[in-house]
Amino acid sequence: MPMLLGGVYLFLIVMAFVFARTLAIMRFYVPGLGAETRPHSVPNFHAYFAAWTAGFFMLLMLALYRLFFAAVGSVTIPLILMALITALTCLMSFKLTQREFKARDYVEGFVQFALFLCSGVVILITFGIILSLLFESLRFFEKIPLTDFLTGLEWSPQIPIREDQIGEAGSFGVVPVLLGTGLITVFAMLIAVPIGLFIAIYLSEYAGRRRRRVIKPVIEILAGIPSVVYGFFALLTIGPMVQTGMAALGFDITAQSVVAVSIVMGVMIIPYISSLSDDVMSGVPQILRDGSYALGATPSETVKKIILPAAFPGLMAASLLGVSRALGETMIVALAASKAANLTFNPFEAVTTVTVQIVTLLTGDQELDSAKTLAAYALGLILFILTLLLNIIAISIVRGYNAKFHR
Amino acid sequence: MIDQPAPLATSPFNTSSPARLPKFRCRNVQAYYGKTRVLHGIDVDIPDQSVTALIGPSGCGKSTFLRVFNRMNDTIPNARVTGHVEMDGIDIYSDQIDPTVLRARVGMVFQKPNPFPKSIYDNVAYGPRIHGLADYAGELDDIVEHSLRRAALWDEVKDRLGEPGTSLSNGQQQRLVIARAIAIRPEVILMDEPASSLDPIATARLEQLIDELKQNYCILIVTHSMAQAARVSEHTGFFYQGALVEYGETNQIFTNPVDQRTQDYITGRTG
Amino acid sequence: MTEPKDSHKARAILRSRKRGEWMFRLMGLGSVILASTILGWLLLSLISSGHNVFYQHSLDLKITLDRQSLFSQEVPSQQDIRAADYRAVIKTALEARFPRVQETDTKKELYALVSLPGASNAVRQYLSENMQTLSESRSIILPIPVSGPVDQYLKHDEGGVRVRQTMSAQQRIWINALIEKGDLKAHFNMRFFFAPDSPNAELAGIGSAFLGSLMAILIAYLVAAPIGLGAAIYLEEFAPKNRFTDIVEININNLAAVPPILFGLLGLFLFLELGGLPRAAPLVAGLVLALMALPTLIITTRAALRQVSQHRVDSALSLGASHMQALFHHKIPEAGPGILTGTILSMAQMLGEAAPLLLIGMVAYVSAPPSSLTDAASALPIQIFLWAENADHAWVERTAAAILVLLVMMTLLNLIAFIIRSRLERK
Repeated sequence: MPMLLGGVYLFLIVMAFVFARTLAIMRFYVPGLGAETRPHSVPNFHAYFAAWTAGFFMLLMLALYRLFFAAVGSVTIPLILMALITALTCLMSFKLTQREFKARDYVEGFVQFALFLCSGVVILITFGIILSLLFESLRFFEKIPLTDFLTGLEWSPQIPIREDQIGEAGSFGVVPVLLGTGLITVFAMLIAVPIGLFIAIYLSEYAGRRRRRVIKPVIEILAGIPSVVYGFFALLTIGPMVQTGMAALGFDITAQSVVAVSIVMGVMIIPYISSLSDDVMSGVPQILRDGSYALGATPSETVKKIILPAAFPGLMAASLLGVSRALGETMIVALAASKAANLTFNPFEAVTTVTVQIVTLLTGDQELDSAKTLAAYALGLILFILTLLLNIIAISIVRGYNAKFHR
Repeated sequence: MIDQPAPLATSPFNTSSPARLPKFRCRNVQAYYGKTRVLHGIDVDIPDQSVTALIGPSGCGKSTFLRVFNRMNDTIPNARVTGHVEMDGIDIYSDQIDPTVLRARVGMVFQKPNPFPKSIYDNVAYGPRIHGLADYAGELDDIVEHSLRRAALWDEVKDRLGEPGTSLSNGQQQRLVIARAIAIRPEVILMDEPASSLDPIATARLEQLIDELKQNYCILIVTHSMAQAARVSEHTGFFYQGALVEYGETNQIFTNPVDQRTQDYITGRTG
Repeated sequence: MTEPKDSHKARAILRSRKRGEWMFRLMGLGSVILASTILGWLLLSLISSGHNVFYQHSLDLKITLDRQSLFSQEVPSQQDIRAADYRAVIKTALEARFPRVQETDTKKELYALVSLPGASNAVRQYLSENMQTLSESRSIILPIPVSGPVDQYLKHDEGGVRVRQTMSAQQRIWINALIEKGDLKAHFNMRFFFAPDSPNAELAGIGSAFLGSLMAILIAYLVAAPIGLGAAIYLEEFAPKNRFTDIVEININNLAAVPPILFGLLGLFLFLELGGLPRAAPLVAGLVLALMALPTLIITTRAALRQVSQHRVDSALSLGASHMQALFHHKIPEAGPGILTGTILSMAQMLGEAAPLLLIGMVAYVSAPPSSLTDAASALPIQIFLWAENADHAWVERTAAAILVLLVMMTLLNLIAFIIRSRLERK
């Protein structure tokens, strides 16, 4: 039935198009009249006008019919109505298709409105994210008080607090989860920022055009590898390697240690930092460099004394975006970090993160409306607020920086 | 075959103009880019069926002034034109005027030859198609042939109308662009330094074409070359720092300029 | 010539400055080399553990099929053939191959040489294709997949203590006997590319995950590309400078940096809870990926539009084309290759995205390939995630191989984008 309706729909639109176009050609181009009678809009625009009008009203009718007469379920009535609308459109077209009628303006106005709607989708997505997080989080905070959530030192959603609490399970203290996320992020940035920065310095100040052409794609490949692959690498190679290395030194640590996860996450973020920093440093005006070299400074002195200070806000923004990325990274930690919360500052222990908990809470056996499911949204809300703040700060730094150098 | 550009019956422009009335009448025309004023109140009458040259040093506003006549300044963000511009006695900046209709009557040729990446035929047919100018199937062929003939290109391209316009030489491309402008049957042709990317032979060819075209069209040409202005134009306007310093018969401007600044420019002391 | 008094000091300073310069440069180069090494290491380790999966061993086994013992009916239907149990047939065939085996424990070791579910499938497939020829009783020689441990053992050239430990001495004797007879053969592992997931490593394939990914990406492209193009055109060409435009611009930049997993939460809430769409469906996955791809898509499309020179647009306008006509006749076609490149690259990125798909239910074990957009399906990166959690060596190899396939797919898409771009540049 939808196939039939769809087919008839398309057919009727084409009918309206052909009708209006033929009519316009017959009316506008009377042999012997010549160019004095040039119409405002060429026939195609009259045709689009008619076709889109028919299409719009038929769609409207179908939606209304479905809304109010869904129970009737007849195909014949919609079909008759569609034919009627097309006939009315053709009648309208018969009256409107004149040389003076500004069909082009209407058609283009409609197209522009459609384009406008497309850009509005972006706002809808943001609203969708905010509303879904807020809505479900509020339901979560009805069950678990906000203060308990934010200050609780224990996170174990799977274990009931008391025996009699059947539906309401576990304790939801977010502190250890946030701490774990922070710990992994800090160590990842300790790896990513220096290495990424030095790569950027090398690319923008030392590497010639030819070396740049080789190095840049390599870094881009590193950036293009999906994070699930990095996760596999962490789980299979780096985790056990760190474990064995520490065992050789006489320490017995887990393969899920913060250090192992952070190394891989740091590597994942390196290309992100390096390409952003490279852009920023390449954007430092050449005059500043020339001035420094003219005074006899070496490249490294120029970088340290001139370029890094000049590019500092941009580099800061790049690092903040890197942090935001690390906070929200899911697949590496889902594979290589622990699923159990652990309140610790020790980088050789295993911790869990916000994203790991979201995945764990939503992929197990879950019942809707349970505190466990809703807790995922509360964690999501925290993650959203954190990354949003970082992004806004980073973007405003970049904007201020651009305004400074590229007026 | 159509020889005369046909006036529009439905257009507000249509006037039974007596001979030698000015084609354009400009009063206190000012143009702004954002807050910067680039034209400082221009008053001038442009005669029909003749060539008017606009000369002056770079950045003097002559190109901006040229774009006043087909409202191309409308397409630049932040650009604004004030004052009064009449074409055949009708204010072309009034709300009733559709710029697309105006531009069908005022063709334009740009500095760099820029044919569309289509065949030679489709390049010329582009304008007639969007304006619905061809009444029957064969008419479009006639318009294309006629326009190419007027642009003195027909004999060179008649056997390869299907080839891309970009395959032509620079000089041919510029004539193709002129044919493309002629195809919409304009009354005015604006030329913005049309010879600046052409070699001397192609330039001579172009100037000869301009000379032929002026019998049917009002032509305004912006040029860097004073020699060219002297060769092709009847009237010349000298622009300096956004102002029309001097305007008059070309002969008089080049032999006996009134203003000191014009004299300095022509004798090469400024520029 | 007498040197200035403090030239010695100056030279010392210069030396230390040069040393500092050299160190600094070394740090830069070192970082580049480190990053490249890690990339090389990652790729090499994937290839070295993944390449084994692309071939597999099978055993040519003489199997006796007896209609009466297999089926109750005279003419078994396809349904019967699918439902019947063939394990017994395989076991009998193995016993016939090594008649001296008597004890139950030894028999179990013998059965463990082949993949029983895989062998059953082979028989099942043979029967459903040759149903008519099965008159009363006949013997055929079928290539049947060996079990995972045997496959590992053969691939690792009897090497590796870990692998050898999984085989008993008796099993190794059998295997050697089979090799001498030439009954064990290695062949290209077609099954890995086309088979669905399976609990048995030697039978598991990426076929249905691949199909799921393909469907999702297609949906994402069909949804995101037109909306992204429309939004980019509006913002680049028509948007007035006002509050709405400002908000949209800020939104795009922010959304591009929102963690992928939050798009998963949005998808879960919007499409599953509110929209009532089925879990784990490629349709939902595609929609979520579309929402996620949109911001970057708009940014790259706008960049492509901005790169088009204004000349031809101006020409069109001077001929009396409207703004919209100049756009659709000239600017958008000219930006076309650039826009296409951008959309392909963002789809390549979406192909590797797993986090949001986890949340819309794509973690469940899916055995059959999806037959429609609303069927439960898996996706390639999800399959990788699920397999990666198995520590068993056979699964590690499968995971690495699946990653290789994913990377090859992404490389192909990048290559296509590169070709389009370089063609544009030649023009």
